[in-house]
Amino acid sequence: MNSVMRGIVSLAIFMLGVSEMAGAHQPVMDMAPRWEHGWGFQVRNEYRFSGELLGGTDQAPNPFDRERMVNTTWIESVFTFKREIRLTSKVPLIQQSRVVVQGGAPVNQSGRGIGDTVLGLQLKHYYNKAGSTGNFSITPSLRLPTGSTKDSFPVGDGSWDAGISASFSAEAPFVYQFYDVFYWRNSKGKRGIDQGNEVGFDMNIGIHPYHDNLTNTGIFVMADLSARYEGRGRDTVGPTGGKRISLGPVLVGYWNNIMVRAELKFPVYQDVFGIQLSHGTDFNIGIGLTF
Amino acid sequence: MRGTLFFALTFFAASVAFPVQTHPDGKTHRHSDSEKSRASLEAEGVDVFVEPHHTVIQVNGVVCSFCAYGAEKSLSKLDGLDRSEFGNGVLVDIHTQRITLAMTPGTEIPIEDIHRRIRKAGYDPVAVYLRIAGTLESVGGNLLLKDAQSGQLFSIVGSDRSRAVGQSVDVQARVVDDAFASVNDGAPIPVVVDKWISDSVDNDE
Repeated sequence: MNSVMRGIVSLAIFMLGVSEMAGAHQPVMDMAPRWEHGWGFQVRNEYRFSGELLGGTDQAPNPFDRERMVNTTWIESVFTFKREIRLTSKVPLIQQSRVVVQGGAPVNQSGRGIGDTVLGLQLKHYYNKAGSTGNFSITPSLRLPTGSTKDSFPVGDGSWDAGISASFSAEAPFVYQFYDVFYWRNSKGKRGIDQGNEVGFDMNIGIHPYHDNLTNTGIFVMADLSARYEGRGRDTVGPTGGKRISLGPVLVGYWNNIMVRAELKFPVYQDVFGIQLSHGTDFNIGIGLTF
Repeated sequence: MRGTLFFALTFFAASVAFPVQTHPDGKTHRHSDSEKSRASLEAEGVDVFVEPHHTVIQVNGVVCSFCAYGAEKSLSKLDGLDRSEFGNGVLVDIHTQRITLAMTPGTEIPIEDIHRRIRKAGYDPVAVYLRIAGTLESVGGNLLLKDAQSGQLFSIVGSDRSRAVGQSVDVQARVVDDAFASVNDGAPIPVVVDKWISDSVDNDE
């Protein structure tokens, strides 16, 4: 192993070891299936909990033990018409609860069911070079109001939202990198929910330390950086929006057409509008298959 | 959370500490003749070595291991593969960006179909290397090589071996640039010989 590789490996170990910091988001099947008429699906569970109250960037007193737990299982699918055009869908199955303060007393709220479905049309331009491959992608998206707004902690917001993202990813035998910027225009929903528009940036950079040609088996180890800005808005109980940067490690293993991914996301910087619960730490694990 | 981190770190460290050693072309070579031939090719600046009954395709972009599954899956449906090799007759090597096909002896190599399948899988084939053992023929002033087992015809470009017509030879050749994308059905495949591995003319020299 040359000194460059040793450096990269050391950096990866360091990042795994000091994950006091935290994670990001990720299009798991960024370049697969890239074959004509290929399709795939992925089941991904995302767990997020926070019991920390923030006022701006500072921790605020939390005498009523306000907290929030969101457990989302994403059912994601992709169909590749040809390598330049793909259709994706993401359906969230949500189970969530929170403690809010109403009338000067803590109140438990919960919600469960199908959330708002996201459809995307990915327009890709791939390049193939000796020793690397990659793609540029533009993805217009639509978020449909398929989630109910009836629960005390609603799983949907009742609005039609439009988004667009631009991404670039590149892969060499030992290195993977991915960059994505996106914008969501959130329109006014039901029950007074009116979330602000959102701008985001995601970055994944990692190494591919192990691959076996005969079994097409291997792993990736990556660092994930996410940045978000959400305009001032509100949900059924209070203000929403703010800025957030998250950082964390990602581990991906694959075997032929099966991929497993696990990641942790820790907020390293948050600045919220008004008084809000921290975004909290995310734990994300999923399995995907392509055909 | 600490348990998860510990697991991730252990898994990562183990993979770095105990990597699977794969030969650059992804295969294990057991025959000393092969080793001699490889050494001979390397000495002549040819960095691809093709085993008998194998076809090697250099493919730009085939470094994305999870997505390379599509290329492997499509190629594994080719007729004439020797599926006793590599599990399905196809080996994708992401380190060299080469795909090796193990062909059953006596089977014609479907050059155009190979090209089409790799393109549809999302990659760009740039060269095809073959190992051909057969007899040299001269037809209409063109030097042809007829595979001894399949009868497939190859047109040898840029060689003055016409004095070896009628002789049996074993060569490593590459399909002429871009010709593999548009080979007419039944027409001889134009190839450039990179190495005359065994032929009596060489031996005489």
